[in-house]
Amino acid sequence: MRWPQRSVAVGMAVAVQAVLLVVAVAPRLSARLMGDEYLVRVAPVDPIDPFRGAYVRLQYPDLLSDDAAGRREDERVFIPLVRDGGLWRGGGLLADRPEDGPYLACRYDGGLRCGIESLFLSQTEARSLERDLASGGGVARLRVDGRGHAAVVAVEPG
Amino acid sequence: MRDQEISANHAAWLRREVAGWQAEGLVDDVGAASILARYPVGQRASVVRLISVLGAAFVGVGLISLVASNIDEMSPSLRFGGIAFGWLAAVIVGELLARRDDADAQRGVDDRPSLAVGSARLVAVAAYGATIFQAAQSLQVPAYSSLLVGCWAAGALAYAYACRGAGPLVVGVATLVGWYAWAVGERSGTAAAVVAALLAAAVVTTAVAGVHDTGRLRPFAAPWSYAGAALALIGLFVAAIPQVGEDGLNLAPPHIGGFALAVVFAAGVASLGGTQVRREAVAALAILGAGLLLLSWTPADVDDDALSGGELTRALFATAIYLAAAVWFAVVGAVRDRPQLTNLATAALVVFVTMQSFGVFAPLLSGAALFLVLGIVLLAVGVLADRGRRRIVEEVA
Repeated sequence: MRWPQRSVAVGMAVAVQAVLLVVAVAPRLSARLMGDEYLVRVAPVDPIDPFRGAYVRLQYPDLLSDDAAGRREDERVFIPLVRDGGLWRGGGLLADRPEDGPYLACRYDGGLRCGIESLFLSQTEARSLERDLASGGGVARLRVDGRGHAAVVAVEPG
Repeated sequence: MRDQEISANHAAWLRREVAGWQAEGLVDDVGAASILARYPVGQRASVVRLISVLGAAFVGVGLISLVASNIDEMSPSLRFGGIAFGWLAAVIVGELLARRDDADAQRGVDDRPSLAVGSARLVAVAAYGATIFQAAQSLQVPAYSSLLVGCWAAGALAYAYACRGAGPLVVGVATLVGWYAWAVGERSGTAAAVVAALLAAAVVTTAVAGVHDTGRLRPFAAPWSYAGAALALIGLFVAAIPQVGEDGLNLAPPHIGGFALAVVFAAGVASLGGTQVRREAVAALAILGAGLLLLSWTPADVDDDALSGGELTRALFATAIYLAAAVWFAVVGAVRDRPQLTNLATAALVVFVTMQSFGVFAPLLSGAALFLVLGIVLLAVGVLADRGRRRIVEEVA
């Protein structure tokens, strides 16, 4: 069976769409597939995304300090991860990519954005997790790849 | 020869032409009736088309809502697999139906694309957006990422041009414009810079419509043209607000580069296109120029309690510019037989005049008197705008 030229073009367009799909989630996909796991302290703030539903907005008290002084919009910064007992914490902001050790690659956009600020859950789960985190704090399980791309894998209260 | 359904505007034009031919003796009564009978007004087909477009749009919105509802009974991977399967299935169904259409056309049965093909393609492009959002949700991509909408827009446009589908193109253009406004808003320090970027985008989309003026992709000109008009009218609307330029334009080098590219692209299309394409490109550039002038014009003598001389002069200038732009788009709609464009321009003009009237009368009147005066202004503008629209359509026809 010979497919018409239009169907071939549609097949190519679907391939382009598949590539765009990967581009849209590339840093998070890379962190999940190739990253190592780190545990950090976490605290909640809560809203909703119109396309993806309820989520818990996360803050990392030991990791990200939202110090705006002298920061430009869109500026790239790097946060080395330092072991602190069973958890990890941030080792300050660096302008250049660290040569060794795990680190987060972030962007300044009205605050530090490292790709780990949201955890999408169902409405009920989001509300319950937010309550648990607000009362007793919690720990986020992150995966971070060699380029500093990070993804939230799970958040555990307590 | 088969009957061919035409729009009500085309039918009115044809009736006048045929009457003229009868008067000149070119056709007799029987010939005139036969000609008119071959071109019925496609009202019933329009209703069916509307129902099937609405159906496909509801399915698309439903898929995205399904992602947003984050069903926790299913694992994230299973949800992603299900949505991606829906997307690919809709693409394949669309192609199989299109092949059936091709076979019908070869046998001389019907050479128009069927509604089923259009609906499947519309569902496919919406399902692609849902797939991106589901992937982002499953991988915990941070909320409010404009990149996701940008990727949806690019994918929708690639699919639209590959299958030459109007529905995917409309989704592609709408998401592209939405992504652009969002991305510019994220990165610009001032409201004026966002408005300037929207006006520059209006120049580009109008020029893209001009590129499609001839050739096989001619039906693609209309969606680009609507996007250009909507961007220009929204941009001018915001530019007319007196305080919008208070913080200055603060254009970054990428903005200035983007403006230069928009101007060069529009100039190139204008020089290569026909007379109407040239007029539309020049008009879009003139609207960009007028918008930039308004954005850099902040009256010095602002008074919170009354309208100052500077504010009044600016408001009158902005009104004149907006009126000219709205009338221009209404005329383009009539010349191009794009009634939606004429309706868009009419509605924009009514909203604009109401907003300006509020600005003028709010400091002078209060409570019931303000509502009465604004109501009368709104009614008068609505009636006048509708009469103007009818006159333009008649004159051009």
